[in-house]
Amino acid sequence: MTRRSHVGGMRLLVRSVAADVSISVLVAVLTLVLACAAGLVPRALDTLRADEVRYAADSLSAPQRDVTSATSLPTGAALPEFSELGDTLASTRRQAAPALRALLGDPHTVMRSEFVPADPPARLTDPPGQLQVEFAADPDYRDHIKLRSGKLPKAWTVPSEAADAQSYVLDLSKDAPVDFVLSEATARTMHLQVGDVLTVSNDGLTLRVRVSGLFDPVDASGDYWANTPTVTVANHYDNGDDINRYTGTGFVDPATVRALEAVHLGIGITMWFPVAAAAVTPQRAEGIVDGIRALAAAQIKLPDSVGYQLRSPVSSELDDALTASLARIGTAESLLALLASGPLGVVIAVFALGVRAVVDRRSAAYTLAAARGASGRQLRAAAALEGLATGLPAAVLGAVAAALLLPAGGGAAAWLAPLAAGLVPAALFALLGAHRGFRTTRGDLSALGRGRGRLIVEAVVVGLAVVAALLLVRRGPIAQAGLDPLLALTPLLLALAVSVLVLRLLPVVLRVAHTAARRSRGLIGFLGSARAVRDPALGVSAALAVVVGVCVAVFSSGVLATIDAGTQHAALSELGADVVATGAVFDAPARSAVARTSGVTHVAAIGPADATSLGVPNGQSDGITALLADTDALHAVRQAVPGGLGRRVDGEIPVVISHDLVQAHPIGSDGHLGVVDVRIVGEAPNDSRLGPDGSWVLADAAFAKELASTGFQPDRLLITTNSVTDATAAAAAVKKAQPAAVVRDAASVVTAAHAAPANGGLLTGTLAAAAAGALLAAIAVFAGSAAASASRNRTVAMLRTMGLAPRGALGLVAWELVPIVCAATAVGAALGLALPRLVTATTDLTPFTGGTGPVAVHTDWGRAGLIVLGFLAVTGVATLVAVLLARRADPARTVKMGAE
Amino acid sequence: MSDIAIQCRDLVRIFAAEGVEVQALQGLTLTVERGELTAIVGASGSGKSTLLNILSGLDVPTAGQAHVAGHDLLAMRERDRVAYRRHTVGFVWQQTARNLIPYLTATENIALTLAVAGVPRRNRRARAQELLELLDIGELADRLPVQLSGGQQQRVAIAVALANEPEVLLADEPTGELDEANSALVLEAMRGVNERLGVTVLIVTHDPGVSEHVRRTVQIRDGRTSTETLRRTELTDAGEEQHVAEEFAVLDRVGRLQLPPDYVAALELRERVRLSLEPDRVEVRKGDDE
Repeated sequence: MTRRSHVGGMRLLVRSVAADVSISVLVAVLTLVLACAAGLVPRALDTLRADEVRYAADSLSAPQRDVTSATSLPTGAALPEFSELGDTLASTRRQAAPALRALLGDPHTVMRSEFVPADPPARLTDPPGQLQVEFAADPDYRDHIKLRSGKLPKAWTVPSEAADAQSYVLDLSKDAPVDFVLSEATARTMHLQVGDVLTVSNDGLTLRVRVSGLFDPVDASGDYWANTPTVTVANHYDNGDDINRYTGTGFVDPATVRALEAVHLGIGITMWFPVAAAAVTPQRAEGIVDGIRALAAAQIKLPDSVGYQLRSPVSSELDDALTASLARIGTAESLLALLASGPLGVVIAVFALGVRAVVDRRSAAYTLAAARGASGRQLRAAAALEGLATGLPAAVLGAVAAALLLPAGGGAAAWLAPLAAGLVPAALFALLGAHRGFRTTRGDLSALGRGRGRLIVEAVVVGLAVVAALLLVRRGPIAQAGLDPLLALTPLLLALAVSVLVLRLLPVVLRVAHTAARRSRGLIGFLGSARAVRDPALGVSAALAVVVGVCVAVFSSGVLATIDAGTQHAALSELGADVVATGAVFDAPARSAVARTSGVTHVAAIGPADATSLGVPNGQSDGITALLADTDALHAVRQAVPGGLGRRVDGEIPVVISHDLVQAHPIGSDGHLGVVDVRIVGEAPNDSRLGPDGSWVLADAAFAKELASTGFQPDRLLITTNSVTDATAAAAAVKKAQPAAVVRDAASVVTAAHAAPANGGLLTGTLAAAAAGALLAAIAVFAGSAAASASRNRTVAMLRTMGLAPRGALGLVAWELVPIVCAATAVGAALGLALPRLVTATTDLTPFTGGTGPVAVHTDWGRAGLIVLGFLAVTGVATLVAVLLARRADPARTVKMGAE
Repeated sequence: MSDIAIQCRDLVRIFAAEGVEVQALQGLTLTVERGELTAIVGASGSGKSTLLNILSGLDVPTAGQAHVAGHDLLAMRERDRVAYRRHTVGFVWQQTARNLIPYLTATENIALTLAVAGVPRRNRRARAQELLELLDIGELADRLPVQLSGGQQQRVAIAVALANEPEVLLADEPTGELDEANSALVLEAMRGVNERLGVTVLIVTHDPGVSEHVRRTVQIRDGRTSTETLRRTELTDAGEEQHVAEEFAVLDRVGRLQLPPDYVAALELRERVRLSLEPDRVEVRKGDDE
C-alpha cells in the first residue's frame, strides 16, 4: 500500500501534526478552557461592577438618590421667579460633570410655605383634631395630578388694601379666599371636601383658604411624589398628649406663592434633579461621585433678583453609596485578582507540561530535522504554527462559549483575552520546541551553564517574592485596593519561591534517603531514590502547580472562613445574640415559651430600671441607663458580661458597669444607683451593647423591687440557639408569644450583608479559584506523570525482564511522585494558611463583613485538612494509573528499542 | 580548495555526570582526504560515535582541533552550524527508525530535508526521485518506512543524507541492524555514491566486515586512532586480481603509537620495552630481553 507523497512544507507539517494528535487535543482542550475562562472573567467582572453600582443606586430611595437642593429665603430676600430658577437649574445641569449630567433628569422646583394652623370649616362639627396646612407651588404641578373633583386653583393676589400699614391685622381674603387643591387621600384624612373654606392665621394676619378641587397623583410611586410625600397624604401624629394633629399640603396656583410671601408666610424652595438609577453605570460611577461632590462644594447660586448672593446647598446620598460600592468592587477585584493569579500561574505551568508532552512526541522529527540542518528559527516556526493551529480554533470556541454563557458585558477584553489565551500554546510550543534541539540529553547530566542560569532565575524569584511581601506588609491596608498588581502577584511569587525551595531542598533529603538505601538490600528504595534524585519526574512546573494549586485551595477556604467568621462576628456584635427580640414586653409565660422551643439554648431577658444616675462618694454620672436582667442567663448568652449578680455582696446589691464608666467608678467601690446603694463588682466591654451607648449599669432582676417601680418588665430578649435553622424557629416562637415583637436574627443580618453583589461575586470567585486550584494541581500531577512515562515505562519494562515483581513497580513509581507531591502539598498548604494573614494585613475586608474593627483571620481546619487529604488521594490515584500504564508497556518492544 | 576533507588533531571530549567523568576521546588524530571512503572500526565505548557526533556538528569537543571541509568545528557559531548541517555534511545513523520520520514517505522524508534547506518546492520532487533512482529504489518513492525492509530504509536514509549535496557523508553503524546481505547492499550503495558523486564518506562501525568494502580502515581504541589498514587491488604477475591489505600503526604528531594487542600478547610485552633505531626501522623488544 502506498500513498501519494507531498513535497510542500505546509503539507509536511500538517502530516506531522496529524500523525500524533492525541496530546494536541489535550492542549486544545486546555486552551479552550483557558480561553473560556479568559472570556468569562471580564464579562463576570463587568456584570459584577454593573450589578454592584446598580445595587448601590437601587438600594437608595428616590429622594436619597436625587440631587436635591433645598433652602429657605432669609427675611428681606425677594422670591425668585420660577423661570429664573429654571434657567439656573438648566445651567447647573449643563455645567455638571458629564458622567453626572447623563444621569440628571429635568429638574423640578417646588416652593412651599411653612405649616400654618388652620381652623376647620364651619360645617365640621366634629373635626378629627388640630389641622395645619402648607401651600406648595410648582409651575408644572398640573402634569403630576389628575383632577378628580372641583377646579384647579385660581391665582390669588394681595388685595389692594393690604398695602396699608395695618393690613396684616386684617382679614385679607374675606371675599376672595386663596384656592388650593388637595389630594383625595389628604382630604379624606382631614375630613375636608371641595368648597370647604379654612381660616389660617399667621403672624396676626388671617387668611381664608378654599379647597377648590381634589386630585389623585399621576404615577404615585414615581420620583416626583417620592420627593413631595406630604402632598399626597396627610400626616397624623400626637405628642403623647392625646391631641390628634393633622398636617396636609395642597397646591396653590404658581402665581399665588408670591402673594403668600407678601403676607409674610415663610417660603422655602426645594429643587431637585431626578437621578435615573438605571443610568448609573460602573464607567460613570467615579465621575458621578466627583460630579456630586463638586456640585455640593459649589452649591447652586440663586438668581441675583433675590437681592442677596444666595447659594443653596446640594445633597445626594448617591455619592456615599457609590463610594462604598466602589470600595466593595475594589476589594472584591483585588481579592479575586489575588485568587486568580495563582491558578493563572498554574495554568501556564500545566500548559507547559502539556506542550512539553506534545513536543516530546515530536522530538524525533524535530531532532532529525535539526540534524538535517533545520535552524532554531525554522523549528520554532514549525512548532509555533502547530501551536497556532491547536490554540486558535480552541480559543475561538472558548470565546464563543463564554459569550453564550454570559452574553452581557466584557467589551473588547472579553474577546481579546481569549484570543491571547489562544496564542499561549503557540508561544509555549515555540519556546519549548526549539529547546529540544537534536542532541538527546540525560536529565542527570546538567551542563554547568544551565545550572548557573537556574540558580540566577531562582535567586531572582526568591528575591522578588521577599521584596514584594515586604513592600506589601510595609504598605499596610489601603482603603480602596482595586486591581493591585503587587498584591495580585505576591502570592504567585511566594508560591514560586517556595516551589524553588522545595525543589532545592527535596533532593538533599532524597540524597540522604538514597545514601541510606544504598546500605540496605532492597532494590526499590535504592533505585527509586536514585531516580528521584537524578531523573525527577515532576519538574519545576509540576511542583509549582501542586504548590500553587494546594495553596490557592487552602487560601480560598481561609478567605471564605475569614469573611464568614467576620460577617458572623460583625452580625453578632451588632445584635448581641443569635436572635434579638425587642418592641414588646416579654412576660414570664412568653419567655418560658421561647425557652422551651427546641434548639434554643439560652434566653436572657433585659428590662429597664428606674435610675438615671450612678453615684460614688466623689462624684456622680448622670444620663446613665440602668438595666435589669437575669444575669446568669445573660452571662450564658454573652460571656463577656459577668453573671451571678443575684446575691447581695456585704448586704449591697452588686452591679456591673460598662467599660466607659470604670474610670469614674472604680470596680469594688460602693455607690448608689439612683437612691439605692449598690456595690460595683465588675465591668463589661462596651461592645456588649446592652445599653444604647457606653454608659450603663446592670443589676440582677432579683432586685427589681428595689430598682424598678414597675417591677421587672423585660423589653428585650437575647436568645442563643444551636443552629441557623433553630434561630429561625426561635424567631417564630417569639413572634407567636408576642406578635408585636420586632425580631432580628444574626442569620438575617448576615444575609443582608451578603446581599451586595460584590459579596456574591467574591464567593463565586473564591469557590471557582479553589476548584480551579485543586483541579489544576491534580492535572499537573497527571500530566507530569504522563510526561515522565517514557523513561519510567522503559525502566519498569527493563526491570520486569529482570524479574521485578508488580509491587516493585508500584514502589518505583511511588518514589517518583510521592516525595515531591507530599513536600509540595505540605508547603502549599502552609503557604495557603499563611496568606490570609497577608491579606488581612494589606486589604480592608470590612466592606464585606460589615462592622468596623479589623477582621481576624479564621482558619477552617476541617476544610483545609480535606483539601490536603483529597490532594494526597489524587496523587495516590496518579501513582496507580502510572503503574498500570507502565505495566502495559511491552517489555520486549521497549528493550528492543534500545538506549535513547 | 584543500584536498583534506576531515582533519582532527588531538581531539578530547569529556562527559561529566554527577561525580563521574568519562573521557570519550583522548587526543584523537585523523585525516581523511577529499573523495576518500574510510571506515572507522572500534569496539563499543572506543569513542567512535562521539567522534561522529563531533564531525556532524551535533557535539562540541572539549579540546583539540577539528576541521571538516574547511569548517573549524570549534569556532562555529549556531548559525554556521545550521548551514554546516544543511550543506556540508549528511548522516546515516545506526537505527533505521532514527533516520526517517515514520509517518512520511520516502519522497516526503527527502522533501523535508530539501524544504529545511530552502530548496524551492517545484524542484523537490524531481530531486527526490533522482536520489532514489541513484540508490536503485526509485520504485519505493511513495512508501512509508514501515513498508520498507531494513536495507531499503537505510538506502532511503542515504538518499535523505545526500539530498542537499553534502561534501561529506557520515554514517554511524549504518549496517548495525542489518543482515549480511542487506549490509552488503548498503555498503555497496555507499561505495557507489562515493564513486559516482565524489562525496567523501566516513563510516563508523564495530563490524570488521565493513573493511572488506572500503579502501581505508582506521581502528580506534580508547579514544585514539591506533592502526590503519589500507586495501588495494594489484595484478599478480600471472595477471590475476589480488586484494592486498596492509596494516599500519598510527603515529601521532608527537610520535606516539599504539602496538596492536596481539603483538603485545604474542611477545608478552609488559611495562617497559626496548627500542632500538636501525638504519631503516625501529625495533621493539621485551624490556628484560638481554
